[in-house]
Amino acid sequence: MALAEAIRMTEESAVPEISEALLVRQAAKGDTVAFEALYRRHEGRVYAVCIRMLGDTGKAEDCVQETFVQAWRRLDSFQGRSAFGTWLHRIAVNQVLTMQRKDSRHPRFLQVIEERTGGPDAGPRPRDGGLQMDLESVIRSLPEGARNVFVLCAVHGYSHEETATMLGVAVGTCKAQLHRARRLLADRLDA
Amino acid sequence: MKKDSQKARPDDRWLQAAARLPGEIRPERDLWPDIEARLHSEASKRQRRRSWRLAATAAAAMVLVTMSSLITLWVTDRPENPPVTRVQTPAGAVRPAGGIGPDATFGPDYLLGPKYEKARQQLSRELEVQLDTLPAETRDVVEKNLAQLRQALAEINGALADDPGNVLLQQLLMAAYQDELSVLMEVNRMARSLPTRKEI
Repeated sequence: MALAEAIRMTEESAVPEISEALLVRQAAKGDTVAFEALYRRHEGRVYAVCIRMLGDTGKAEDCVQETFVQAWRRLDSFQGRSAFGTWLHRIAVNQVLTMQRKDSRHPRFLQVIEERTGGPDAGPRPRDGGLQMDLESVIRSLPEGARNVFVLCAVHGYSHEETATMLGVAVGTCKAQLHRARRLLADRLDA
Repeated sequence: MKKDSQKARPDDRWLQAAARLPGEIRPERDLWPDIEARLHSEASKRQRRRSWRLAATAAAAMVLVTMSSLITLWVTDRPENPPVTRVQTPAGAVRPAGGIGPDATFGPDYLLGPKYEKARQQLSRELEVQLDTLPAETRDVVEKNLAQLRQALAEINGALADDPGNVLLQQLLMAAYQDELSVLMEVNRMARSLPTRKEI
């Protein structure tokens, strides 16, 4: 209860934030209040990875939920060698890959219908919505492999080695996919 | 600088723009209530799994005792049952001291072999230490079963004192001692195979 009170106080005032290591330790003991604090700190970054890689709001939300449930299950195995956020990102990327694998089993004609109707997030392309919106939109239209690498490398700043490890591909493949993504982006955005 | 940026490849321009995209995007709705509900169901599932494991351990201990009793009875029922040496013990002879259990006796006119006595005492001493490492429920089951076995031993010993020549009582007593020995050995083995706190 003391931790819950401390979390509430830091949320409401300018008291320095409770250390992440303490929150992780408490959460690993089964404290859901501490885990909620971790969720509030990282939901934005995890959701950003999921929505950019999956390109679908509903799937991204499912992916975020699954990521945090998996993290809760595996908190005991988190040894603090990497930052908690990086560890969480790895779980999120795994969830994304699992979802993409499931989606790849969908019949091809569904993809064609989605393409013709503007995809799952139907609506006009934000051509005039500013550079950021254009870029986000074109990233979403990239082929899966190129999109995954581009999001992790170019947007979220992971190295080729880290990205390759997360995606389970060779570093060379990662570099090739990034090159492909850059070329496709330039073609589509400069056209 | 300007010249440099003009010379930059067009795809590099988009790469730089990508690096400036926000690293955080908040979901449109609060996902925490759904996550919290799943965490609570996870916790109750984990609790159920733990209870089941304890019950399974207790059941396994019970099965072990029953099986060893049946096997011992079957073995001792056979004619080549190893005989107990009949000795002339002077009245008031000192018998070897037992471990945590009562002394092993075999009626007034018999002595158990020294090897058996030694093994029994050693196992009893080890059991005293190993019992602390077992889960509380398993320890209760083991202690209860051992208490029952030892009560049976005392009763058969009492009956044998009244009727020293009764072969059936001798066989029963031998079976009960072998039973006790195998339970002691099994518990020691189980306790050693459990992970220690350091290993966890």
